[in-house]
Amino acid sequence: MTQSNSLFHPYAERGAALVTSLVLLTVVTMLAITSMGTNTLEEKMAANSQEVNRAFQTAETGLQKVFEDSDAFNIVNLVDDNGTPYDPSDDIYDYEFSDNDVGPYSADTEYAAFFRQKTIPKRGSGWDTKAAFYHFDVVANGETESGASTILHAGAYQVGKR
Amino acid sequence: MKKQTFSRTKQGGFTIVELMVAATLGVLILAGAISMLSTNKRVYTEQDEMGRLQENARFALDLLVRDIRMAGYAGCADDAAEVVNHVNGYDDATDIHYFIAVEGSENAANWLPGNSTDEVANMIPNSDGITVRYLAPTGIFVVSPYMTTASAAIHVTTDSGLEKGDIISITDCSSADIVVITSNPSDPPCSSESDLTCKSSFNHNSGTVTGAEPGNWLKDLSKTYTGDAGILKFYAARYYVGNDANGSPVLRRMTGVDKDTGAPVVSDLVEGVENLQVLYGEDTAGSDMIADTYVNAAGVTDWDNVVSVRIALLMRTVDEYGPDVNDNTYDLLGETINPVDDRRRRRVFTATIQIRNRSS
Repeated sequence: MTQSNSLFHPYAERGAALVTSLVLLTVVTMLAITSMGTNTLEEKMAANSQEVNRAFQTAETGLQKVFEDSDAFNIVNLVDDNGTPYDPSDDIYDYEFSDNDVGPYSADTEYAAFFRQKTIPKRGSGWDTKAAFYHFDVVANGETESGASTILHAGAYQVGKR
Repeated sequence: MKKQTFSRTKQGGFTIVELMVAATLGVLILAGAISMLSTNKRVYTEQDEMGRLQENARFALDLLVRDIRMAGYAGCADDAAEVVNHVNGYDDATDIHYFIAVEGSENAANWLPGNSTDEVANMIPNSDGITVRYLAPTGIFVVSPYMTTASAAIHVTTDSGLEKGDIISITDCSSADIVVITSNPSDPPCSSESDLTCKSSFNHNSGTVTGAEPGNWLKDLSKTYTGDAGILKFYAARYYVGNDANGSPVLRRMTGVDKDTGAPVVSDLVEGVENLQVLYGEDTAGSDMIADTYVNAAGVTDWDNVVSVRIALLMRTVDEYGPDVNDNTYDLLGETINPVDDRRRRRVFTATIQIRNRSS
């Protein structure tokens, strides 16, 4: 008896349940794998949105630190890129600082205050024309371990002598 | 040899008992496999639908939170009182070009405080709407030759991307002027993108100018701007829940009106958003820029004192699935929402947003 002959043997037909089960199992496995893929993607998106939120909160911390730093808005501390001290006729002067490991998830923040413009006091601010408002652009960058980053800007002014 | 295959001796040998045992076992295994398949399919559908629901919710919240957070931004001139609006209809609070940071519609009523009827007819009746307006930074600065009079043309860098009809603001730290650009920025050929000496200029004329609707009512700016000033783009968006072309609820946004046809520019943003509820945090005591009460749009006494916003979204799965009919009611910031009883699952998402340019 050869192998091919045994195919016609009635005994061979008794595997129908097994074969059907195997086919169904394959379908189930495929469903499971697809769903795993979907879940992984969802999980990644959720994790990323958490990271972005952390970066945002870290940048907020940076902004807070600038406002708590009494040196940030002092024109004496402002230097340009070459380290030249403040000169009212020139444009870009800034005060830069950075802080690592903010909070429990090792995020870093960098912050800087840029001098923008000197203006006369606002109407109704209570300051007379002997004073001047020195406007600053405050920039804070928050970056998490995984590389998500947020940059926040805020404006601030310091009242000084005209 | 071949003949032997069909021989009677080989085909015999089944008893009825053997057949019944085989059949029973077969049915058991098949039943197990089929039930596993159907359970798995149900779990898969459930996870897929809920995954999409959460994804939609995340996207919708992200969009709303980002925009609402920026409301009222006016560049270095941080006080809305310093913004002079030259655009026709500036004092008509029903106009989308009017400059107030936040507006609200309670249960599809007219937008408050301006009483505008924009898109109100397209809103789902028991859902709220929120409008935010701000001047979006562009990175474009005013360059020399600077204005010599308050009516002079304004020079900017050539690759500015500004167009006739754009509503922009010229802003420095002490004042801001919102104007419609009434001439296409002249575009002389430049030797290179980084050629800072190459520049273009645009006008801000008053009166009727074709292609620059709604036009300016006043040509003269509040001052002559110099190199400290930047260009910001006026941005206004009304968010609400409406029905899309298939009758399914979607989060929609209206961003002004078409320059040529005057028709509202509306886009469908996120599917599966069934209801939006908004509460406004109003600073009623102490002017400390901290919200004292959260009230709905109809309950706000002074819109200039709104310093934060609380939003809730009722999200539903895009498709109906499963055998169970969902007849739950949902609590969105104190408002009970009773959606249609169908076979969709629903979730509520909330967020509280500080309006950064209103609070210190």
